[in-house]
Order: sequence, then C-alpha cells, then structure tokens
Amino acid sequence: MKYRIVWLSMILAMAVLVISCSGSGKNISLTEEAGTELRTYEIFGMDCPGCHGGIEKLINKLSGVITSQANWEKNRLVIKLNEDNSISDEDVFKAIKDANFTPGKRIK
Amino acid sequence: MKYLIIQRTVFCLLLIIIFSGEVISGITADAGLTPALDRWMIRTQIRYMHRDGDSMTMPNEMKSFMVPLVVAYGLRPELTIMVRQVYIDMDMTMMSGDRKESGFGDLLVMAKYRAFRHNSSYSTFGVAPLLGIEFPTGQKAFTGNGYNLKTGTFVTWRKGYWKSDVNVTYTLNGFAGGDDKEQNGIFEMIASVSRQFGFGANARNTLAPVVELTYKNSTETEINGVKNVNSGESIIQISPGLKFTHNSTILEFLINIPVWQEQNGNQPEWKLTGLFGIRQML
Repeated sequence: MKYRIVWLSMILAMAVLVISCSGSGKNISLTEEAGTELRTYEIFGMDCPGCHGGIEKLINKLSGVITSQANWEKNRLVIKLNEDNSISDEDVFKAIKDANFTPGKRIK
Repeated sequence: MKYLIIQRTVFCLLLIIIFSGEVISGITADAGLTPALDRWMIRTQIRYMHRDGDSMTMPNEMKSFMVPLVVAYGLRPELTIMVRQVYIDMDMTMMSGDRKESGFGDLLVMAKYRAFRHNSSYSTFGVAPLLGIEFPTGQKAFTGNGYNLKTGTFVTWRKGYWKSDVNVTYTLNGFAGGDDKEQNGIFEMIASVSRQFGFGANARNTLAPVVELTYKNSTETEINGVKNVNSGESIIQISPGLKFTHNSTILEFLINIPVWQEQNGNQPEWKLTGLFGIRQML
C-alpha cells in the first residue's frame, strides 16, 4: 500500500511537471504586431513565478486582452491587447488589486 | 484480555492524537498571503512519520504515510476557502503483534482572511487569520468522534529574495460532538526562513532552500471527563527543506528533525519525519 501511494504520487508529480513545462509559450517575450497594442505596468507584491498565474488569469479575462505576461523579478506586467480595445488603466489596476498586488505606474 | 483492550484503546487514542493535530503545514512560506481572486490551488503531499519507544503498554514503533489533499479557492481577494482530506496508512509494532490501519481521516474545512497586506517595490507584509472546522467523517481509527475547531494567524514578510513566515495555530479538539468525543488542545508555532534563487527565461523558475522551526504542544486527551495519562506532549523540530517553483507548479521536500521532546506517561518518541509535496495553482 505504501509503495502504491509513493508511486502514484510520483507519477502525479511528474504528470503535473510535464503539463506545466509544456506551456513553453509562456517563456516567449511579448511583441507588438499589427492591430495590437502593448502596455507595460509596474506591479508590486509578486515574489515568485507562482504569482504570475494569478494576475495573468485575471488580466486575460478582460475583453480585448490577447495575452499577458508578468515578471516578479522586474515588478512588471506586460499586456498584449487588440488595438480597438476599451480597457482603461483603472480596469488593469482593479485586476491587479483583485490579485492581491499593488499597481504602480503605467510605464508604456 | 484486559491487557489487549487497554492496548487497543491506547492505540486508537494515539492515532487520534497524532493525526488530529496535523494541518496542511508543509513548507510554510507565504501562508500569510491570500491568493488571487478566482485562483484554485491543489496541493498534495506524502508525509512519512515515525515514532519509536520501548514502553510495555504502548506501541513500540509506529510508521505511517499520510497523503493530505487540499483544494483551496480564492473566493474573494481577501478570502480563501480550503478543504482538506487525508488518507493514512499506518503500521504499528506492539507487544501483542503487528497491526495495520489505513483509511481516511476527518474532513477539514477552513477559511483564511486577509487582515492586512502591504506591497511595496522592495517588500511585502501580510497577516491572515484562519478559522476551520474538522468534521468527524474519518474512519474509526482516525477520528476523535467530535468536531475540532482550528484557529490561527499567519504572518508573512518578504524582502527581495528572502521570505520569512510565522504561523501560530491552536486546535481545540472535540469542542462539539457526542459523549465519546476526544478533547484536547494543540498549540503549534512555525517560523520559517527561505531564500529564492531565480533562473530561466522571464524568471519562471525558482529554487528556494528553506529552514523551519516548529514548536508543538498537545494537552492531555480527555474522554467523558477522564484524562488519558499517556497523552500530551511537547516537541521542537528543525526542518530543512527545498522548494522548486516552475510557473504555477511547486514541488517541496522537507525533513523534520526532532531536537527536543517531552511526552507525558508512556508514549513513543518522534523520530525523523519528512514530506514530499506538490502544489498546482490554476
């Protein structure tokens, strides 16, 4: 029984790692393309890669957002939006607060 | 026959004492910070526990594996709800022979509230109290037949790559329930320090050595007003560990080394214990 628990847990751990590592698109830097807008915000309170997902999930829910990428080491949040989006800075600040972080200034 | 009944009663009490005090603790970093709104967290561990003694009336040796599964959800930015179910597999060596027990423990439902959080460009400080109720849903060997109340406060302070946590919890076992409920109190304090090393593109990976200091005190167990003299203990453990984070996945490994312990009556001592855990945030 003990061995079964150990093995099942190992397999689970490996599966989760493989799944999470397969999201390699996350590691590509966002670039501005035709018909898109790129914004960068200061964000405080992130301390590890695990924090990225919390804010990115909330930002990606906003209508008009294509994708987003946070960086805890640089205190930055980069958002790629459709050019015709209606997202204000206040919408972004609210999402940052809902993620339990503190918004700084809009850099770009 | 009488000896066997006493031994079995002691065996059941010991299981309850051991497992009723277990929370979702593992590596305690960031416990004072509530997760984001609409964030799911699934966490499981394999915990190995070992107790050994030379008593005539109590089990000589106990080895067990616990697998807690915790599901947490950010209901609001300041409020997180959590549910925990434990599976336990245990071997005991007793004077009357070996004994095995396995099954589910009690179901724990908790809520953590963000009482205070301050984020700045160089540090973060958070305080989050916790309130939970454990329901007596577990298998006979692993339940105290009563409702257990869990309260606590978690404090987290982070500066740069350094993190520090202090978690204080008090569990009142058997605060409600039937006549045969087990009653006692468990106080636990964990202080931890860790240092992160980031690597990989966009800081998506970190490795963090952790060290924790745990103090735990359990009072004597009481059933229907009768105290069990072979219960109640205090222990201090030092726990070095390692935490690896990749995106929203966290792997953790920790060893608990008992540096001081004192048991009432005849109880086996705690030996080296440890855990391997995985956390996935969605």
